[in-house]
Amino acid sequence: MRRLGTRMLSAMLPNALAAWLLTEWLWPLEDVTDTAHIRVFAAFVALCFGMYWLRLPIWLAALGKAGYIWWALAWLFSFHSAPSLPYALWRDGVAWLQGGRLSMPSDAMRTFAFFLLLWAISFLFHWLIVQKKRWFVPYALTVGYIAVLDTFFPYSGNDAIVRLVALGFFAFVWLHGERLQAKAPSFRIGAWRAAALFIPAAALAAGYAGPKLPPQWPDPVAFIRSDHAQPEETNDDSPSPDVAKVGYGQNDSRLGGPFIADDTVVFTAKDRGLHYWRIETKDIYTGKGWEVFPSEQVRSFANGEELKYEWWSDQVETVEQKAEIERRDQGFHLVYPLGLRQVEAAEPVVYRMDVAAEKIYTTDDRANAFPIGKYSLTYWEPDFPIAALRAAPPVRDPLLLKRYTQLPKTLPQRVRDLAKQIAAGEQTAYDKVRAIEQYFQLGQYTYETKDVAVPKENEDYVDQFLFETKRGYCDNFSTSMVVLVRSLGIPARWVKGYTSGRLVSEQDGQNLYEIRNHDAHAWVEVYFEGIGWVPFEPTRGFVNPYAFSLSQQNEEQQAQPSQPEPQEQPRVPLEQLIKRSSPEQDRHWWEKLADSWSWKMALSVFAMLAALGGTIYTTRRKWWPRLTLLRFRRRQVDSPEWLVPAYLALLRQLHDYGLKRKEEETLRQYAIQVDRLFETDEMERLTKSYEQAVYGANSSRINFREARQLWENLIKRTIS
Amino acid sequence: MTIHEPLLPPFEKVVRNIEQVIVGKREVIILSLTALLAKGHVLLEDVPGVGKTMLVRALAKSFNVELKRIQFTPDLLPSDVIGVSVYNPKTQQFEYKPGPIVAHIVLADEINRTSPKTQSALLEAMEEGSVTVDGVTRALPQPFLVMATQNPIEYEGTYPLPEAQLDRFLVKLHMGYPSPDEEIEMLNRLEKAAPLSEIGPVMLLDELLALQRKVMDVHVSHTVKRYIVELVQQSRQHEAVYLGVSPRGSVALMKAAQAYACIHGRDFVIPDDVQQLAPYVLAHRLLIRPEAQWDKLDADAVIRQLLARTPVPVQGRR
Repeated sequence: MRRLGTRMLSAMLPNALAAWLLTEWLWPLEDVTDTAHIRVFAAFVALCFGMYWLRLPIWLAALGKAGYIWWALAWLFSFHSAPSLPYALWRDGVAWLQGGRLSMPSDAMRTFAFFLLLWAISFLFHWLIVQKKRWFVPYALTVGYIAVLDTFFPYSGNDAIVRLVALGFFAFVWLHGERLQAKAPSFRIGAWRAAALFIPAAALAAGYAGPKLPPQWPDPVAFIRSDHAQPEETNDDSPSPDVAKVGYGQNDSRLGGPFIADDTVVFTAKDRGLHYWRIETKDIYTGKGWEVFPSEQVRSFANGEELKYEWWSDQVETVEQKAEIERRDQGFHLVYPLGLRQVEAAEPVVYRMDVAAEKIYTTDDRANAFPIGKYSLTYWEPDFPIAALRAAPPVRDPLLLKRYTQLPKTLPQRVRDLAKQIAAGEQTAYDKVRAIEQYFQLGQYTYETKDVAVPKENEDYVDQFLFETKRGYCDNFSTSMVVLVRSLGIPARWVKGYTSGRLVSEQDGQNLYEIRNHDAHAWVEVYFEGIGWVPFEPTRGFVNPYAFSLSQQNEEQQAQPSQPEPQEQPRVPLEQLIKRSSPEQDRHWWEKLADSWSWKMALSVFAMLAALGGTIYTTRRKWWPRLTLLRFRRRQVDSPEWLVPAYLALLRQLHDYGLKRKEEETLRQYAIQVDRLFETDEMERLTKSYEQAVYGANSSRINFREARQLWENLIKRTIS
Repeated sequence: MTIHEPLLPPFEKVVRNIEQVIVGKREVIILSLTALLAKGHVLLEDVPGVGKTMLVRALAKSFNVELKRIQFTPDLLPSDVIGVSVYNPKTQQFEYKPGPIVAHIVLADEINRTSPKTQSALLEAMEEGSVTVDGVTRALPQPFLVMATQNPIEYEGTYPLPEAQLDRFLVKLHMGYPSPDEEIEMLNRLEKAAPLSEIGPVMLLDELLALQRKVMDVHVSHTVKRYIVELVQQSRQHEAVYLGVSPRGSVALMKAAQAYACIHGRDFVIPDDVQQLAPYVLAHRLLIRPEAQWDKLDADAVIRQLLARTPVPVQGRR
């Protein structure tokens, strides 16, 4: 009874592994195709393998499976009476056959066919894995399947791959062990199984605890696509955030990574004013990047029609300006200055502004995207009054507050603490924002496009930049400023577009600018109650192009706030940072050790020790015989006192080597086996000497010199 | 399966000599020599016509000793075996007329066909090495080897030997049928002449007696003795055995092993000797339970099990 139990258990594992492997094929179908109710199919697979496990008679198993299919079809397609099912399928099948080549079979028909396919594949998997103990082919196919789906379809195989690696290697070792045991019944399956459990687990633990490099190769799909795409909007829907960015992109959900400068001219502009070119704003910070606030609100206006959009209150003084844009590529959205009033293009287009993102699309009158190349526009160039900004009351609009002070829950506390430190001592919101803007001009942050990190799964993009890497480009600086400002409760948003570009020439008071791909930029806008959105520029090496003017009653030194004033700021954060770290020194070393001794460290150390132990164990055949050789070489006694222990050590060594002496076997019978394997007669000759020593009356006739030579030769033979 | 070792040269000569007339029965020849050397006796249990007589004759010829044959029949009397005192009118005395038992090698054919009385006369002579007629005990010549045969097929009208008497035989052997190749070889040899007439003596009687004395000096280490005892003890505990091997069996096994080692040119016994001899020395000393037959267990199978269950000692005394 007990033997039956263990046999059932050991038969269960291959069946379970096979069932699991087959279901790995099913789960992605939900994402990739329109197949629903994957669980029903997975349950069918489980049922098939359960029946293989129980070794039901073939007619009973077939009956059970057919019953399940019947029930599943009836349930999925809610046939009123299950008995009519075969007839319904028959009718569908006939209809499909009569309908010609192009007609699709009905859903029920297809589902039925899919069940039959699963039935067949489960039989194949059972035959390969459970009967033949072959794991490689089905496993390799599964890995390839997941990899292809992950690469070319909107399906993330991350979890599946981890599962496949963990259980896959385990299954490899386990099933191989069973095959070995079938060949040689004396095979020590227990130790093998322990290894099957332990080694993949140790490898997985090491992999999990160890540091992970970013992918060494860029995503090939994105690379191929970028080769054929326009310079602008190259990798819009690139699935990987780690790809080098070339210019302006629309997907900012995962920021970070290096940035490659691209000199392609995107557009030229004839303009009098000095400003950044906006494209859109984003306001949901996820901890990794930016998402657009989902909104349906669209404001459309025609060619030449005035855009009725209140950029600022009338506290901001404005000057009307004109600009002419000539795009080199065909864009579907405008690049425009802050304070846009109206747009005019030769083509009959309608401009639709997505109010949430302040992004303006060009469409025809049916709202289909319509690219325009050349357009002129008029806009209000602002001059922000510092006094009014300082006097601005706190924002009260709860909706606006909620939306623009959003921060992810995962944001580390030290980011908020830093914002408080920087803003400490500042009275008004404006001064707080300025302090944060200036904070980035400190020496510890550098502008860098190549060596820029991507936050890992459990890291925050801003936190990483502020505290760890301290190097980055506009995305890092601007996002960090928005987050710092928001953490003070001041509404802020992230703006994307281009800088004013390179001044090429001046013609009759008009400046001609060339805006190239690498002029793509991101900056910050902060909302002040009673004034509106005001742009700020935290990125090192960039100067805020917008004018801020002091009104009569304000101090002189605030006249040029956009200029960096590095000497003024550093004392606050630096001193406080030093103060914060001082109690660290009072702590005992063991507390520090305990702090640094995270479970990851412990796991790494454990994995390393395990690997070391494993190496020592697996290489024992190399070093243990040599050790034995040394041990007995040192004894120079030519007597049975040397021969007997040496021979017994040789027996142990041969046993470890895999040549087991059965207890009832005499030494001579064993020696013949050993000699047959090594193709020699040394063991037999040595055994005769040993017999003389152990069973004989006098050992004076033993040729110890020869015995020693034979013994050494045999020990050496066991070094593999 | 024989032990992987050459024989001592004189024995090799004897075996080769006998092999001229007996094809493919090297192990049986060596075991017969073992019995001879250990001063024991052989029970040959086999069907007629497989060369039992030939073996005995060749053996006798090899040593140039006298061979006598007794055909046991139901009407055979003890005096027909050991001899009688006959009154001599000339000397007016009873004179002893030796029976066929008085010889170096005696072939006792179909020993189970005679009455127990005659059987016991033979067995007593075997055990004592002497015969007693009319109160006078006369020693039998040395060496003295009885090879008794039994037909295992025909049991009708037989007097099966009791266990106590079977115990007197050192080994029980089977000749068995030759393989087809061996049988062809046998036909080849018998085609032209009778080979038995061609073989001659290869060892002197004195030489044999000297070797018999030498067997006494073959060393049996404590380790091997314990192995023998363990085997015997196991036989007494085996579930299929009704009556296990007696201590006489242990002695027999050791004596046989000594002789066997001597034949193989060794002056010490190794476990291989014991393993090799156990089926021949122990099997006829076991009484198997009748119900064990249902498991197809006979004495030979039990001995094989005993050997498989008993670990071979590979270290000296600790």
